[in-house]
Amino acid sequence: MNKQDTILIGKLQQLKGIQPKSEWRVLFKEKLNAETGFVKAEARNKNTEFSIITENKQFALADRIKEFLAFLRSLSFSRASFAGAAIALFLMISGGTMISYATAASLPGDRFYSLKLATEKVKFALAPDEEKRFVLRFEFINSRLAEMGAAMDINESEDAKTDRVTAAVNAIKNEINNINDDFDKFDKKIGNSEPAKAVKVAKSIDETMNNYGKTLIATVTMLSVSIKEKTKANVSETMKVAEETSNKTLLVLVERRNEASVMTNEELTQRVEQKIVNAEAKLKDVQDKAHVLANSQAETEIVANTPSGDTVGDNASDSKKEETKDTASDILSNEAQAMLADARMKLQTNDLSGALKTAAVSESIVSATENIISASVTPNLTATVTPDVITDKPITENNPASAIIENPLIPLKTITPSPVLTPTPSNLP
Amino acid sequence: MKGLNTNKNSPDTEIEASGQINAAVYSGLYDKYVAAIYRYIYFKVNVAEIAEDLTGDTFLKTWQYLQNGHKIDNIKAFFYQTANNLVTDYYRSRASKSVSIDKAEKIIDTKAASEIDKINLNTELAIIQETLKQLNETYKEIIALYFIEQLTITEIANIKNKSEGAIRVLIHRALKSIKNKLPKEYVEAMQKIVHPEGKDQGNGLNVDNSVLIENLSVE
Repeated sequence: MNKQDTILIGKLQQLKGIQPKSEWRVLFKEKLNAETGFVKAEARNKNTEFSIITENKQFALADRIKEFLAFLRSLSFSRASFAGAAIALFLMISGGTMISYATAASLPGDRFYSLKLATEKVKFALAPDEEKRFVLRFEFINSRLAEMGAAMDINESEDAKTDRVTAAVNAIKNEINNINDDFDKFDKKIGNSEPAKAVKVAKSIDETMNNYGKTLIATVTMLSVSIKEKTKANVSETMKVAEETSNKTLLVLVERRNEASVMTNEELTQRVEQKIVNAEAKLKDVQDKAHVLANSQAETEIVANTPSGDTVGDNASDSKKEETKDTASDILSNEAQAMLADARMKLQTNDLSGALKTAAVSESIVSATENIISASVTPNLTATVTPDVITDKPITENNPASAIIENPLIPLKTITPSPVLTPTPSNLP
Repeated sequence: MKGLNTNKNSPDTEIEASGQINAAVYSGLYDKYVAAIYRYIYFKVNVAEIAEDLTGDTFLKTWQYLQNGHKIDNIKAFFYQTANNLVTDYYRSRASKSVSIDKAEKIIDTKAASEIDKINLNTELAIIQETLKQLNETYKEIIALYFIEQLTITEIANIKNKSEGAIRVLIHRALKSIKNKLPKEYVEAMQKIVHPEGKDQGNGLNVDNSVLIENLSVE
């Protein structure tokens, strides 16, 4: 063994500096702990290490840096070393976000999926500002949409695929809800001081939600019939929250257009009109379904009440069908129709805010109507009605139809037709 | 974990007296070995992301193995064996992809005096990494285990299921092989910086290889 060998061995030992990325190391540990059941978060020893994430909680980058700097100070570093370590932190944060292909391509239910979600959490927590966080949330939704499509390409049972699709759809809904909540906070925080910023974010959310709605519909068409049926309720709920979020942000754009406009009045008018058109189309669809259902129920009832051998006359059948008119869905859809007509009138008078609010309430009523129809074709669901939430109060301005949408199974005999409602901001979803 | 041998003298097998594997201990074992297992795999697959995946699989599979009631006498050796099997499976399933020298893993030595030293050191280590890749799998593995991870000859013999004598021979041959494959310019440069005390000059390196060399000499 000569001196050259010694030097070479010394250099080889320097290869010990090759380490897995600290981000991966920490994230995988979380995954491993979840797998082994060691879920209790480790108490961090601040004297020995700085951990990127703790207890699965996201906390602000500023807090992390403060914590890290405090840790460095406790080590009594020289000024130069202190700066070097701070740079290392920066490099660690900025350069360690790449995740492996296997993790990135994982789908709900896969082994590495939780690692993928954890990585997203870290990216989110490390985002420099609120605007970037919104963008990241959009990216996460795009990932979930891609996962929905990818789940269909896997060679596995329909049940397994359904689970994956359901998980992705639910995750999209949660993410949209998060966007909704975050926007509320963001608007509250900077809405008055920096209206231009708030309006810019609002526009981006409105556009994105609009696109997600379309993409979700397109993705759902790729699903098999059985999966489509099993995930229908989740998809519908997700579409609803996307629509509500879009409505909320569009309202901000409309109401702040004089302070900081990112869209012309014409563009805003078109967007609001599009909302009304969408609501009208949905109402038409729901009315058609209600009509088919009512006729079908009437036919069933007539056949059941007709003694064996008798024929049912056309007049009897028609009159029976006529009796079905005052169903819950009819009452609600008539009200939605009246509100949409009102929204159109407001739009003509350039009352964009009023038109949007009215259209939004109308849309909620249409959704409630749709739920009633779904419940009608699924009789068992009626058993889930809780008596104490059933109201005897008629629909009035103080107790609008939209108030019952939380429980669309309320017996509609208790609801009396009301004059067209004047929506208020609180009516908005 | 039932049936798992417990050796209270070894921190690697800190299993609860009940015989059940302690998830907290396993989490500690991960902390202790993750970097070493990652490096071991990295030198075999040459792609950081794949090394991460296979490292993760190593710890998950070992845990599952324990959960299934199997005995593990030496957890450290078991991690290496599992990693080795996973790498073998990986190569069976796809062709290896190696990285070019400029993509070789960068190693920042915080002891380095200046940015230039860091660059020199990284370049030097990149050359060694590249040379390491040219070795056959056995030599590469022996160098990783003995010189880089500094496992004892007994431990390597245990992992590789070979006699200690056979491992010593392999270490000698592996070292000779890497020396022969090093670029001529690098060997010449190395000759110029040979230090009388066997310690590296410059780059802040201060390597004491006496133990390794001593062990190797006992043949």
